[in-house]
Amino acid sequence: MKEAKDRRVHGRTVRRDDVSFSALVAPAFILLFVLTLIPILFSLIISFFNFKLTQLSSLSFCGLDNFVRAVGDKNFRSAVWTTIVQVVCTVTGQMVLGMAAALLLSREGRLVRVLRSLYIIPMMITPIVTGMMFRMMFNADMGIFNYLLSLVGVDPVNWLGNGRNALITVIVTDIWLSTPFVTMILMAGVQSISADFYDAAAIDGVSSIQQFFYITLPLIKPMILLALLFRTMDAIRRYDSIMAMTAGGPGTATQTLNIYSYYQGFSYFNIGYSSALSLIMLVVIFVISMALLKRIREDS
Amino acid sequence: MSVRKYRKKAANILLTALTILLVLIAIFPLYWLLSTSMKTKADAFASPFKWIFVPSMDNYAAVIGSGEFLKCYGNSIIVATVTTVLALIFGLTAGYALSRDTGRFGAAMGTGIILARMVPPMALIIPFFVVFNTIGLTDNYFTLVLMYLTTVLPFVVWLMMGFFKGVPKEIEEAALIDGCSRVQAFLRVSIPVVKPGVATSAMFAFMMAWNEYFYAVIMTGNRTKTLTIYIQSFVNSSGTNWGLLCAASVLVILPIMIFTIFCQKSFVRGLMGGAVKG
Repeated sequence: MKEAKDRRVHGRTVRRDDVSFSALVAPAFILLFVLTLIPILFSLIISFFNFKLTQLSSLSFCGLDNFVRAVGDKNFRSAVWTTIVQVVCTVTGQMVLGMAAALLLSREGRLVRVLRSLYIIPMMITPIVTGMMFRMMFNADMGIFNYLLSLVGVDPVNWLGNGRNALITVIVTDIWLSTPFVTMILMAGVQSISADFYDAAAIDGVSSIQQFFYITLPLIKPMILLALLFRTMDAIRRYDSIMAMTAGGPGTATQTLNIYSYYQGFSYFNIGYSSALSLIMLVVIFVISMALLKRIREDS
Repeated sequence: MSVRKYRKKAANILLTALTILLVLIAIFPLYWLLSTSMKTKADAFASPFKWIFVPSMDNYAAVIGSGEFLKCYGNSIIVATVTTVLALIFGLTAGYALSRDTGRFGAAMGTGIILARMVPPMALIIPFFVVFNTIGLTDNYFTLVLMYLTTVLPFVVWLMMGFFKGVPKEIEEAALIDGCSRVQAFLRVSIPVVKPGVATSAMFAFMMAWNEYFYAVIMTGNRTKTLTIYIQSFVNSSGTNWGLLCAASVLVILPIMIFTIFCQKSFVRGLMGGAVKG
């Protein structure tokens, strides 16, 4: 009996462990397999059909028509463009601001420690609440932002009623909501860098700006990529706060691919077309995420 | 030397001032939400703005007094709790196994789980809706829990994988030599070591389910309406009751603010560890 256990530790029964490890992963895997892969396959099948919930009698196979239709659809192209602008602007803003905040908040001292805890709070605030909150503050007539601007002599801005302004507003809102998440990840990286690096650099007369680019940035690269992975993934499929603020409007100014796909499915009941749009989005997210994940593993 | 010291001190003060400004900007919207929730209707949108006012709890009394709010609070607690428990049961075991050498088959399953984290809910909702609508399972707690698991479970597996990686193999091997089975070693040795990780995962699972809106919009009805849906009821065609909306919002985000402050550090450790392997 004793011998058998020893042998297990020294590798002879590794195969037995493989089996038990696999058995431990299996429940979660099977659950997620049933709940995600099967629906995706179902979606894929639906996307080959002319499937309208309101006209079930006209259900017919249409091959790649739904995907071809997207290419020619003016609203689809505008949604893709809005998504790109929204994702690039929010994620860039979050990374730059998040980095600056991480540097500021990584310094020593009791006051900074208190500020750190306060700064992190917005990170997990319910997105639908965030959307409502900013909708109130950006209100053209009675919002606090226009009031503050009026104090410095700026005329009231129609934040949510004008297409370009609405997009800016929606971007600012997500920057507020998720920059702390980026900061938190980057801060863990900044704090783990040994002070020796900076001391040595200071002796060699390296300026703080050079220290940032040649010491800090390369050393926290895995953290930067991880933050980028999570933020990009979530920015592409963002839904809650946009719906709370503009519902995609005015017109189609803030209608991202995710929201356009939602409207096709649940307002116009074009289930087939909506599925095709969702799958396009899924593929884009997968490609970007896998590329980033691969870089993270290479770096670590 | 003293000039340099002086300059360093000045820079330090400047940086601290900048940090304070940054934090004030970050916190301001929450302050605004809180203060609006305690203003009377006349005070809330008085012009010029009232920075100083007599706080009133009327909005809170009105929100809590309506049975609807408490019912939705209850619904959110039920759905978030059940989601958390299930995500932990499945996520702990899978995260543990994936942090060890699982062989090719196990590793493939691990990659599958991580991929599930990337699926946009929009790609799942149509099949879910068609199926659950056909068999009459919309407006049902269990349906919601199942759908929430598609986002929450991969995340918990990811986090737990990171935490278990921090447990040295040696202490488990010692337990195995002492006559524990693999399962006993897992339950009695590894889990106690990652207790902070379990707490962090539980909190994040709860928060993700608590904050969920997209699936809830489509799949809840009168019976299972959650808080995120309830929040919207203050906006209607006749205008928005901002005071009530703000009071309800404060009550919704209160648990989350407390959680976030407590588990930021261990959260990052789990995220990092989970990204490296799997």
